[in-house]
Amino acid sequence: MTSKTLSGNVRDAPKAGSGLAECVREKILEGLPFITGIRGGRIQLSLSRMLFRFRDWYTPNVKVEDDRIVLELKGDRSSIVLAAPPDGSSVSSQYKGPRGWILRKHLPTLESAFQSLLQECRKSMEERSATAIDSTMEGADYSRHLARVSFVSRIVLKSLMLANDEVIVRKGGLLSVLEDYIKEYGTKYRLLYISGTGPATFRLLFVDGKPVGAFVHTDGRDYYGVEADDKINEIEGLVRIKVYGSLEPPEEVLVA
Amino acid sequence: MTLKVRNPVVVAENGDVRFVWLGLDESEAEKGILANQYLLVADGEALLVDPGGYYVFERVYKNVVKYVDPEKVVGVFYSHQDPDVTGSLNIIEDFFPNAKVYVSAIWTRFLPHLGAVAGVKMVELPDTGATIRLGKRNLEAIPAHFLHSPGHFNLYVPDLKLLFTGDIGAAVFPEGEWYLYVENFDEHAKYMEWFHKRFMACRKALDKWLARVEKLDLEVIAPQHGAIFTGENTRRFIEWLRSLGPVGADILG
Ligand SMILES: [Fe+2]
Ligand SMILES: [Fe+2]
Repeated sequence: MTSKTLSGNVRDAPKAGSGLAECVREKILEGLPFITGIRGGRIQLSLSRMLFRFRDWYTPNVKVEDDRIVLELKGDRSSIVLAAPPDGSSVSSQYKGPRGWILRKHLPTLESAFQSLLQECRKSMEERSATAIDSTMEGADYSRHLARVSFVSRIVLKSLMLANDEVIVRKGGLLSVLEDYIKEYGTKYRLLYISGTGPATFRLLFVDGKPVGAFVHTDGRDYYGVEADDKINEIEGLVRIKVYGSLEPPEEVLVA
Repeated sequence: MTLKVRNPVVVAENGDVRFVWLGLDESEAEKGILANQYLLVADGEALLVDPGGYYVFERVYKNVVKYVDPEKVVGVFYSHQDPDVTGSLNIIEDFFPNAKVYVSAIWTRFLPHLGAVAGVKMVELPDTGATIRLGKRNLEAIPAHFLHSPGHFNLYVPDLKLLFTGDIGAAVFPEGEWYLYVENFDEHAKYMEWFHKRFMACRKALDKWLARVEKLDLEVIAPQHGAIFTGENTRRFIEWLRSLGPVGADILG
């Protein structure tokens, strides 16, 4: 796609672009801001400035034109066009219709949403193959997954809450507290998830008693894996610890 | 098109007070009864309003942190006990560690069944209502019992002249259709009728609520299901409820 040869441009760019265009088409509802209605393939956008509001129903259309991905929103009273090269750089926008002074305020937001949408599509197309490797248990590290709400909520959803305690921890003492939980529940439940809130937030994951992921959020920063282990040692004060265990096979619960 | 909107919409704003709608998911189980989750932000603090079940939590969380840090979410307002309102309680404790839960006093002994929630601080709302403090503002928890839940509260935000009405005002959209703001009231009323006739307990409860709500200065009415009423449509909605006739147990033979 970045090839400068003529054949490269002709052969590769449209192919990559059309895949992207399809992805953008699928993700319009998720990606665009200001959506306040959906009806028969059309979307309503509401934009306001001070006390004034502008609403219109649009038919979205995504196409590839001159190596650019173009999102056209044709409305009853107005139209919006967003366009960018496949890498999402240099987004351009155009608005035609009434109340331009309201719309113009929001065009930058629409542009950056379109840019993120393109970037997200590119990323998901690249990652599609990579996640398959990740789902095998052998040597897996779920530290980064633990930062994701969706991942954690799925574990909680498929688990039983085994403990919910408030513990006063001395510096360096948290690990021995955690060990006690692992000893108590680690043999019965193949998968253990331990979360803590207090001076810092931490999330730990164990399979068959062995750590497979650690995440700590403290002082506005995220730490993963070994770095997170170090931070856990520094936690002191009042900590609420919750322990969840799952009897289901870990491979099924921990789908990335 | 599936009905899944990921981005939030600011519904009402006045200075440092904002009421934000947190997006939309249509799961098959909902059969068109889509649920709204909201965030009220005032002076840097925030209150989650009917944040919903597990399956919507990721979106809700991601949208909340666009407006405030999770530590600044100091409360969760539950209009009532239903799973589409309270389902994610267990996980809320992990992600919003400073949030107290405001819910009718009759439900606090049932909510622990959602999982051990010993760490959650429950604030019991008495039947007569209560004032909730958020930032520098006072909010009013207004009784709306038996509409439909026997322990049901609305939330009035004076700075925005906004009333969150829980299940009152719920609408069931036809398949593939959804909108956030009511534009054609008469059309919209058709989508509300069944729910109100079937779910609201009785006319007496509705009349009692109407008598109280009619005294409020209102610009926005935001329900937990269906669409938001603004301006003139808030008055039309109240009139519609008054003329709805018998509901619930009144209709039983
Ligand atoms: Fe309900
Ligand atoms: Fe509901």
